Amino acid sequence: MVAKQQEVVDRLRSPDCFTRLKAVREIKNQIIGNKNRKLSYIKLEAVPRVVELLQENADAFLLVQSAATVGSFAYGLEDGFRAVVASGGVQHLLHAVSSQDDTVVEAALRALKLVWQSSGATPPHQLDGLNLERLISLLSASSTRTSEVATQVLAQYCQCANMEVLARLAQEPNVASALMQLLLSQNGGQEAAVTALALLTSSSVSMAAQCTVHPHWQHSLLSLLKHSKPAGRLAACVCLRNICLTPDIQDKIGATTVETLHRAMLPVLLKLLHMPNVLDTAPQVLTDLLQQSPAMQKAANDSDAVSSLTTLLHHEQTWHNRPRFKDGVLRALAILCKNHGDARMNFMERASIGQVARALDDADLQVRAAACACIQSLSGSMKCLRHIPMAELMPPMLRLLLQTEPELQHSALKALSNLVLDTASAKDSVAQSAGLPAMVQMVGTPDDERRCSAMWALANLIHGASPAVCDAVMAALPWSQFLPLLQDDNSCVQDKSFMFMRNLAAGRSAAECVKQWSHGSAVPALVARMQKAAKRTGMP
Amino acid sequence: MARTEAWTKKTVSKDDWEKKLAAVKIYKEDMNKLVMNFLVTEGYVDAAEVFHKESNTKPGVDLAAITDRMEIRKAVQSGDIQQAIERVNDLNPEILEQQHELSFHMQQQRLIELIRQGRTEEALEHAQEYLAPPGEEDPAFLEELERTVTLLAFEDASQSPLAGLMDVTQRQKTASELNAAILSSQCQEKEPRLPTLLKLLVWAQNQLDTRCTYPRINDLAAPTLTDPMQT
Repeated sequence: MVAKQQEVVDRLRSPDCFTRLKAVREIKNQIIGNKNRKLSYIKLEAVPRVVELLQENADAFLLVQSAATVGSFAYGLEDGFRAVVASGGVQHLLHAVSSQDDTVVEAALRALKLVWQSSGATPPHQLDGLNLERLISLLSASSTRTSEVATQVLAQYCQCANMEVLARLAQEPNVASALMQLLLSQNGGQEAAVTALALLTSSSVSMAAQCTVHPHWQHSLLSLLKHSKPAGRLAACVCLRNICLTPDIQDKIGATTVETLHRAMLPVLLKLLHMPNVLDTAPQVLTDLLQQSPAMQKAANDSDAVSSLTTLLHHEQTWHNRPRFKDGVLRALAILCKNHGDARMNFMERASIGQVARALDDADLQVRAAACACIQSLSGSMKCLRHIPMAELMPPMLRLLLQTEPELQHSALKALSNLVLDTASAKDSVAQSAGLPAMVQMVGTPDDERRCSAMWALANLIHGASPAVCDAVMAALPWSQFLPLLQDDNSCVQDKSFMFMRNLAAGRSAAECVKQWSHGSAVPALVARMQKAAKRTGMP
Repeated sequence: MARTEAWTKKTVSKDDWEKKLAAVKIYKEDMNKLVMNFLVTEGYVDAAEVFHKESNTKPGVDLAAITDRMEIRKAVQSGDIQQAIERVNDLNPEILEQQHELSFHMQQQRLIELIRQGRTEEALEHAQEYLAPPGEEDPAFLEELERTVTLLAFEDASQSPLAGLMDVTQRQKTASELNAAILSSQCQEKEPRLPTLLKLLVWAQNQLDTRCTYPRINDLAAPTLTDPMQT
């Protein structure tokens, strides 16, 4: 067998063109879909010999077969990919794309597509200069097959490229218009065009804005919301989201049209979440949509989105090893439950709090933060707060409060702020743990928002608290550390500091404790503060 | 008092029915597109060309590609799998490269043809080179490989319990799988739309049968309306 294969490889260097053509075609037909054969031929050093054939000013048949063979060697096999790159195969394929013969161009494009599908996260070569110009020009080729494959190559390249490369590609002239025009085609170019547009508009606001120059952009993208493939529908949602986020879009097309676009996207996104293999971007796009618009939050709640999202949480296989997906689902739930009592109660009725509690210990930082946001939203109403199982939630919440990541700490703080408001067990948990010193420490942070959140949390902690909790708080936060907060530059911090004092002083015996805590300075400090405020406002 | 009303189905007369049908607007262009879709998907290239000239309805696909697809399908149906593989790789190398199950079935069919021709040594070599490696990676492939190789154990495989593999229907199955993959790669539907519309018609009539008596179409090939007044 090896001898036979060696004989075929030797024929690649035959002086006779027809012999070389037959040999490369034989290799091609043996290796397509067959890893073992690819490996055998790679060991026999067939790859550099086939790449040599691409360099010739050979006839079109030979170039077509050589290009297809190079693409096949690179696909699905790391050794093959490396052999092709090392032999300069990619450069020669890029050169072949400039051929005057459509069949050669198409073969070279297909081969490039296979190469870049194998390349993992980044393409081995960045497209620039003439190569990029040529590829973009092929998007509008007169041959539909060439145009279709060129679009697929561009989409594949975009999927491999990083944000910097995408942003540069988005600056190229004619890319937006060529891709928008392809949205109207009925072939494979349509899906590739919307995929490329989704990636490019995500990297560049100006690209998203350019899409709106095309006369039928709304019709094209709305039609694609019904694409037969979920990936096509999702890409259309991403494009619409990006366009709706461009500055002045409401001035350009009107708030009503923006809402119409959002309403069209919503049911598509909710269905996509339950499709197997849907990309992780789906819940993120939904979250962005909900964040932008209270009307969409209401529409989503009317469509029973909370049930749909909590169903996903209950099925581990949908988000296992997919932290971005889980993060998106939790954030969408956080938004839906934030200002909507019905949504909160629906969530609690579906017994999903356990899933969120487990997410507080997730290995992924963003998932933990999203779970905190969810808890914060759920605990935003007293009615819901009473149904929250504190024993299950407090330990992971306190662990998050002690983590070093500032954003995560802040998310945990805001959620705890609600949890400790009305529940004695939650207050006790904080007061008896390292959570209390952590909160007090955050009161001294230079960040205004975090300082305010910390003060608010302490104010809530002390509200209706037992004497033991009050004592613990007063011990952790000495008067000398607290006094400056009453005069803080940030009005929210001041406001919450006063709230803290009010809550602390409620009740005669508590007032006595406050007097002791402040060494008698509390009342004079409050009076001084009120006088200062009165002077500023011109009141007596 | 119990309710004992007898429920009777509503009856729609043929005249009323025809009046309702006449009120529905169907555009000639839509019908032409349906006809073209059928011709193109089923591979009637010459008919599609003539229809295009006569009705000015665009085929929507490259007719040369249909010819290629039909040649490929014929090659599989006649047992020339090697020819089919070479042609499909010339048409679009991505198809067999990316669809492992299809690629396996093509190689499996090639094995069956070698067994049919009595080329036992070649068959074994082919099984070892092309089918054993995917069989090692996928238990489903291994099971199919084992079934196919078992044909070699019988003097007359066509009389064995696995005779189905030797039958032309197996070739047809492989041909249909390959045809569907080619159509999909060209972003065409795997089936024409006309059968789907007819299925919808049959389904709708079945649903309507439970609710009323009306002029049915009983023969789809000669779609005359029955008269519900005549039993």
